[in-house]
Amino acid sequence: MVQAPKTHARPLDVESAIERAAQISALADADRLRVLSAIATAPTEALPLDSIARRISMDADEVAGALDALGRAGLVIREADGAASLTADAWVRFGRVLIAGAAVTAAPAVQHNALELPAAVQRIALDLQYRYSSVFSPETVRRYVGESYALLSERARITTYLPTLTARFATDRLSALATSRGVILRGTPEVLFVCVHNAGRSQMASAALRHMTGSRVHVRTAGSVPASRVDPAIVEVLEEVGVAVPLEFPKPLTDEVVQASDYVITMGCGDACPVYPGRRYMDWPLADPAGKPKDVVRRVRDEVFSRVERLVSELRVPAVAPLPSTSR
Amino acid sequence: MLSVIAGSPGGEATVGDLADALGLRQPTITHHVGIMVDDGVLLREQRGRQVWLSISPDREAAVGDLLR
Repeated sequence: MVQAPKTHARPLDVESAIERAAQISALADADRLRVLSAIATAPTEALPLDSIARRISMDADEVAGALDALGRAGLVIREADGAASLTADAWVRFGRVLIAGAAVTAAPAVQHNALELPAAVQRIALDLQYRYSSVFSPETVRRYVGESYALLSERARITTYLPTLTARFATDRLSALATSRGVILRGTPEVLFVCVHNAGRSQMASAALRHMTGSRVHVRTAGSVPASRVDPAIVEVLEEVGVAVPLEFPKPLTDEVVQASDYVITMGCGDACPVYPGRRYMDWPLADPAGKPKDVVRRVRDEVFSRVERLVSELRVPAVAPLPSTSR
Repeated sequence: MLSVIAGSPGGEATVGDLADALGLRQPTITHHVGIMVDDGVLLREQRGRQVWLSISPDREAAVGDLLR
């Protein structure tokens, strides 16, 4: 599951593994776990050292030692006045351990009206409804996002990160719910193809990827300077080999669409594409087929097909249909 | 190792898969697998000649959190 949207998870790189291992080892101690959970379950977002000590009847020096270790592992932040609060990593990676029950119970009583949620959180709900469309009803997803937001906003000090945290937390809880129902959730990879006009290369790549993977991958396209329509020559060279061109129109590149993607593949307009952490960026140096003779367009098509085949194997998604073998 | 298993198709991998993915020797992998099987994090299933490793369902959520 997971993915989290778990996505077609990729193995951890060495740095991430070292960071997580250090966090686990900082937590492999009952006193430190109790300190962290005292902060997590407190009614306020940040808790002064003496309040922590009182909550769990622990010596103040021991609490201070535990906080230092947790701080070094990036699990706790100290405010200027010494009060401690949890980091996003602590919530996301270990929240389940700290507030056992609360985060995983399936049906909290409170209903949150989606209309009352801030716009950024409503967008998260829409995103997750799309991602989890094969597993949960839109109502379920909305309810989880609303509750996650309420849970986090009760204790958040820095509201800037609230939407991001809400997305991670809600995703996490939905994955847990899916697992508890025995659904193996791998998450559907989100792939975005970006070219200058969103009329040629990105449309070919999108058609090829949809042809190969059907609904197992969510494919989107965008252009930095979108044209008014898809180039008819592109449609022609795809249809002549039996690859259908989905009904699409060139669209501008927006932040949201990049943020919603796991893979962002640019073709000659990398500079215009905003970069966010956690996405996989690739650049495919393909010639622009606009206005070129038919045989040039076909060569670009064949190059796109080869690259899409490699992408599919990297995504670890089973292909439902092979791409037609052309002159490649 | 957990991230390789969690990210594999079907959520399972063999010791050989892990050794290839991580560039480690099979005895090293086997040693760590043994610890995680004893602890209940990993499940080991023999199918034919291959031993397949997967993340134990009751630990899957916690492992998923950690890999996020």
